Amino acid sequence: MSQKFKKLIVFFILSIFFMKSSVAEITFQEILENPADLEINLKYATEQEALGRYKATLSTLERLSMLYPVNTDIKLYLISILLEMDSVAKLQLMIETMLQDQNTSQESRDYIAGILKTIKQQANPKPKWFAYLDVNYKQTDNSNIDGITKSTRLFTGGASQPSPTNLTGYDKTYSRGKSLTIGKNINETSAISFNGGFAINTQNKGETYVNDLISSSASYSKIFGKHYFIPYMFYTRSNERSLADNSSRGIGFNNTYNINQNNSISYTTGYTQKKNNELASTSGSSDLKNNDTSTASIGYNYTFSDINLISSKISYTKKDAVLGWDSYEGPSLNISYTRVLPFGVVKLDKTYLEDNYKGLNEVIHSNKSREDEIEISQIQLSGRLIQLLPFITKLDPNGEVFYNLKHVETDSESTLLNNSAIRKNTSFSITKRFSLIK
Amino acid sequence: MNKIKFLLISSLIFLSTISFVIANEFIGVVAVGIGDISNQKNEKLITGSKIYFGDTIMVKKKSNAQILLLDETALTIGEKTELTIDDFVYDPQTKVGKIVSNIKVGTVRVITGEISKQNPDNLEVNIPTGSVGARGTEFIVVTESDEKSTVVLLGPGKRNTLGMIPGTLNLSDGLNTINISNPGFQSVLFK
Repeated sequence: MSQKFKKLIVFFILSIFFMKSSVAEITFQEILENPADLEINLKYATEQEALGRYKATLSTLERLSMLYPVNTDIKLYLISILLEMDSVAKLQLMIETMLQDQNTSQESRDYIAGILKTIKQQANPKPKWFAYLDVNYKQTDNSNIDGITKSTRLFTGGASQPSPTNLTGYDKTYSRGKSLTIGKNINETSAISFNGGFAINTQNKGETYVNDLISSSASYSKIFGKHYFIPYMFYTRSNERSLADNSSRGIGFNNTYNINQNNSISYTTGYTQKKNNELASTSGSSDLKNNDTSTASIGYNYTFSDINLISSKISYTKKDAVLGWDSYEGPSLNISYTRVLPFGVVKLDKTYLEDNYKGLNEVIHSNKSREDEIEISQIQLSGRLIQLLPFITKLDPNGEVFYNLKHVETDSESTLLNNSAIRKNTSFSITKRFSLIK
Repeated sequence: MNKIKFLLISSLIFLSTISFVIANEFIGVVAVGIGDISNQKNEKLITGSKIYFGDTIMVKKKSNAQILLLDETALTIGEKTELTIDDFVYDPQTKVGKIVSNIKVGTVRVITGEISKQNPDNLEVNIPTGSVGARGTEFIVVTESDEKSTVVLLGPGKRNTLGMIPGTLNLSDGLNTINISNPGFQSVLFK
């Protein structure tokens, strides 16, 4: 593991400690000594909420509500906690009291109206079955689709030579797809869903990325206390124009442990098996690209002000390929920041990977093994189209058209010239969802 | 016989010392005191007043209070209520202990604290018509008379989004026992 990566991991761990230690400051002893101090108690309530000690938040807010009966903000804060606690009886009593109070402002009454709407929605159980069809179109501008190297040179048999002239740099790819999802809410804490999709991918100049893709997946979600657990399995099959057809199948699970409203830990693991069909033109050599890949990750997520999310994740990937030189393993570190905006969700994402390949590819270099360091920077804006273009509300009243704008820059630095390249992709996609069960 | 007398007197002195220590043990504060509130010694209690082991809190007409115990159990007391903390033992290090409170008359809302979190059986609320045990919850007890008490479970509910364990109440009238697990549901205990 390189020094740079070690430093990043230390930074990651320190960040977590900093986030955690910055939460609790006021002690219960201070509350016993100052039970009526508005500032101290309000801070204590928010800190306890951040720590997931909601009963302490509740009793503190009730106390403040008794001590400062005309302070509407305290009551609204208390109402929001009761709503999340599903304390419906008490919530309704409080709301009625507030609505009868002449000191309650119109703004507060509007907020309460929103809460009453939420309670009504909670009272109406969701339909057991759900189904929707997504129709998607995506266009991507690729700055370096064939991965022309930074030096425009390649190793062949250990010697540096100019890259072939027939490689494509800039090109566009297009994807048109449909996917059908059918699922069932088994009970209040679990659901199962099945998805099947078909996509046609085309390329403007080259043929490398021209294929038809069939995909299917099944997943189950279950809430165990503070754990949100999703095991899944998938299968994809591609029908390639110029490369060998291939199929992938895999299983895995994602789990999020909600420490409290602001802090969560997520951990995942997955296993994928990829098989390439034989091609007559390559005399079965495509089989040699078959591989198994295993990945595990653990991450920490911190939400603040309800609209900001900072996530960090450490992953480890191991790929075992038929060809030793195509097998690698290595860690990766990902840090992202997500913010909810009126017109969508913006996400800034940075990933740093190290891939250490096992064997030597003597066709390229007989005594230099491949070690890649890859930096991926990404900016993404996504949301419902009516958020971006409010005037189309009449065309899309239920907000079932989604957009996604993404720019990704990948900088690969490798011990082998052949794998050092910079790629910049900019994509736009639009998805129309048709809900089949209302 | 003199030996026995000596031992008896020594024991009595020893026990009275213990009870004196326990009786003066600080167990919480009046976190909110609005109106006319007093203890068994007829001392007026205000916001910030200390509560000691064995104290009886009397909240008069048009008054209310919140008592915060050392384990963070919160007792919100309505008007015309009389409540005694009969037993309170708590180790802040292990967060283990026991609370026994006695509601003679009136309305008390309870938000359970650390003692109940560690072992729900260690929180006991006695009412004239029976007793209430609670698991990770908030509930309200309305004791109208020696003959009738109403107990309502307030929350958290099963659909809470905070990962909290839904609350349950265990009510007993001495002969029969029932559980309440749905917020908003209540049970009336008669003598």
